[in-house]
Amino acid sequence: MSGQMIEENILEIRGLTKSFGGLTAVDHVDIVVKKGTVHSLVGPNGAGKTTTLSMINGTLPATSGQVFFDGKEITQEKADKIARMGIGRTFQNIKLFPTLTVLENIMVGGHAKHTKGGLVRFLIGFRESNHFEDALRAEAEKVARFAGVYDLKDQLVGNLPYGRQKMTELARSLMLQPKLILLDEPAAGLNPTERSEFVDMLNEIHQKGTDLFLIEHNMDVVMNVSDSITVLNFGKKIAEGTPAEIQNNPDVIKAYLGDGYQAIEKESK
Amino acid sequence: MNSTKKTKMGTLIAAAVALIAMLVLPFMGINNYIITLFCQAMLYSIIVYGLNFITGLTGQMNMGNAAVYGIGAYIYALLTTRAEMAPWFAMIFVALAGWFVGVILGYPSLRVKGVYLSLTTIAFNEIVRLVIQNMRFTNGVNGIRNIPSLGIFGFTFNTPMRTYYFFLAALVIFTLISIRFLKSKYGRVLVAIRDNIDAVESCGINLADIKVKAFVLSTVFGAIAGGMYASFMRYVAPNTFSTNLSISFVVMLILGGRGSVVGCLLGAFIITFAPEALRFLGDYYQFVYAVIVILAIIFNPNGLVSLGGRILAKIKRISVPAKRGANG
Amino acid sequence: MLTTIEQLLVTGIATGFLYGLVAIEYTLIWNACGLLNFAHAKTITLGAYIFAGTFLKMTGNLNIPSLLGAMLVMALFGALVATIIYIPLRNYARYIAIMATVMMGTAINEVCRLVWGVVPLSTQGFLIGTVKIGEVVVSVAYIYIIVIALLVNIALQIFMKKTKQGRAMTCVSQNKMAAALMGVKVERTMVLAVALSFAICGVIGCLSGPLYTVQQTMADMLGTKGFSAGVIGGFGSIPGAIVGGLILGIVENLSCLVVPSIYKDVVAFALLIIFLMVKPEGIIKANREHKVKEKKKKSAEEKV
Repeated sequence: MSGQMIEENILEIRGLTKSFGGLTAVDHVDIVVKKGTVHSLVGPNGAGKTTTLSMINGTLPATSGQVFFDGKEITQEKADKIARMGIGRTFQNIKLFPTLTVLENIMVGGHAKHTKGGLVRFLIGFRESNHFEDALRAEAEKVARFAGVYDLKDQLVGNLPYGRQKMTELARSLMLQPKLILLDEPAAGLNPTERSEFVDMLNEIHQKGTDLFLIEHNMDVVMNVSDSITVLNFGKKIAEGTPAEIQNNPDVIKAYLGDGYQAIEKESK
Repeated sequence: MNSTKKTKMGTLIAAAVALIAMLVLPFMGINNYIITLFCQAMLYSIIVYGLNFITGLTGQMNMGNAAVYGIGAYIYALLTTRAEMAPWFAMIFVALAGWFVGVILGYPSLRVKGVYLSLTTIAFNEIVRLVIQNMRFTNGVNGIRNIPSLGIFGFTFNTPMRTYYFFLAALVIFTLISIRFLKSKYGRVLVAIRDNIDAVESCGINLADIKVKAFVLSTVFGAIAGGMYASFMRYVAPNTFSTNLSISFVVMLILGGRGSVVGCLLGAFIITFAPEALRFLGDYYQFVYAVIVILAIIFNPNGLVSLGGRILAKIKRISVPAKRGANG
Repeated sequence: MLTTIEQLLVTGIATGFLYGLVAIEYTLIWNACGLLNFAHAKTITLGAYIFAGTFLKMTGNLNIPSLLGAMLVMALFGALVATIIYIPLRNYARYIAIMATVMMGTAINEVCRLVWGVVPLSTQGFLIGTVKIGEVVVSVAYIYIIVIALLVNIALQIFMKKTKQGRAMTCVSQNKMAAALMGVKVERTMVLAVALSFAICGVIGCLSGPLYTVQQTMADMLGTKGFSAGVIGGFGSIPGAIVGGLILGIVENLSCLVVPSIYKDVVAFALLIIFLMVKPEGIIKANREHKVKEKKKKSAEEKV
């Protein structure tokens, strides 16, 4: 295994493995995400998708294998450092801070980029830290507007409806101006209107230059946004390709639906 | 927008009223003992501010605060009596000692989680107390006497009245520092850690860094309060800085409500004055006090401030998500 | 010289078993409720007072019935405490419930003082006397401590593995949610665990009466060192509790050979801190609960 990654890739996973004692959750998975693309990770329940995501962003240590991001190896790095390097993350069950307001939640996302200086400087240097705080707030308001939650900015985020919370979490992940965002089931729990709104937002984010890596179950979303898809089952990669290729892949169909089904010709868009 | 401005005005007015009340209090014909109690309460408030940063916000149980308080007191005492250092100069060293203890303990405390931390801090408290008690250098059980008091321009703070105003000024300063800290990015991150620690690192925030910073701030507050105590009482002894005192500090925090400056003040003042208020119970005082605190905790785990918050919310008719900090 | 070492060893082993028992009682509550009884020192003291102050006097110094009576009363008290403190506070930050137990300790202390007075009570010939084993003089109380500690340990292992309630308790300690889903009445199990723990505290109180005389402060050090024993042996593990207790008892007593004995307690605390820094899981890694929780958390995140 070489220690370099290819220029044109934003993310590379090589032989990534996670075992818990006797249980192998992720088994030597290789994935390549080219710059400027949206990549999805799909698979049945328990396939190892979230575990893979957690290993990429550093919240879970890998048992073996390598992760490369934007030219550097990040395999054993700490989660906060990886975030600062430019990887954002949203969570399956939304991890927001319920007793903070929407704006404050978003601001927390930007702390690493918009604030400098230690505690002593903070206590003494009034004007400087106020200046940073104002800049942070302005940036957060801008992002809140983009995510459509500006009108709720002073509400405690715990009071918001689910759809708005998801948008807030997405906004928070944008504050670090990431090159790549890892999204864990972004469409889960959203009604069709919210879902299409979310997809539009993802597309817009992608247009603006941020690459996306999603775990998603909802096939509409996956087929709509992805440039490429990896399919996992029982921790192993069983297929990879464009949406059209995946749709007709017999192994994929078998994994999801069992042996009794066959691929049918679908109208391509 | 208007309601936030109204709340801000309301808070400022309330604070101004409280300050004026505190300023005229000694002239209302109360005896020196009560003035001393107020001094005590103000001192404890400062310590609880510090405790709030670490326990109130991140839920890390710190039962060793009395030891830090004691270290501050003893350093002031030793420097001013043995080394005959000028009092304010000694206070600088006290603050440095507080910072030093914070750094020494802060990093290891990160590796110790939850309950283990409470055990460690208790052990730490006991070790400090036992060492002070048994060392000849610190005069053992007898303590150190005749400690010179602080003063400015020849005006020494050596009477209850003078100490009262000195402490009041100090309290105002510490309050302002605490409010500033809590409203800043630091305060926000500490609340975030309490709400959902898993997400904080993914936001690019170095958890270790902020936790140690909060820890150091709390030990500096505690140590300085200790120095002030030594200056005020002019006598320090190891028995004062027991685990029981540490526990009292945590009780003050819980009673008043973690996360807020007002909560710390409420808790400190209520617990300090409780013995006086319940004096009529005579021999049963301790028991009743304990039962009242237990009931207060069971029925109001988030403190008096949250009670106020709930009432205020009902008035404003907004709902508040339950502050069930999952990070115990 | 030799006798001194052996003497210290014997004291170390006996107090070690006592520490181990203390560690067992708080481990029971920790495993079932995820909380600590910070008032266990006072709980032990209460047990001693009920035994010596009430039952012994009532029954005219009948030891065994008094012991059983004390255990029963303590168990009932434990059930009460579980219902009014542990259960309502179990969803809040851990330190809040812990502080409630601390205050409960003060309340218990006061009750002991008001009901039985400040004059230390004697246990009237319960476990007095010494035996000579070879060259070493061993207090009878020590022998009983060791025997009873082992009995309690064995009884608990049988209870946890063979009885329905015991197995329920093991399930709850490993995964509350799964246990609840499987129909285990989690709250009832918590109450049972606390009642058991308090009953054991009663036993410890009775055993330490002869050693420390029955007074309000009798168990304070015991309580703190009991915590240390559990940490050293393996937080959350019942066999670990005995191992930790023995290590603590022996080390702190043998340290008297090198350090002035007034520092004995400092040694005990220093040992605790060292373990917490270096090996917080303790000697016996019975943190099955944590390992399984980790696994379940990870696999729960994978599933939808």
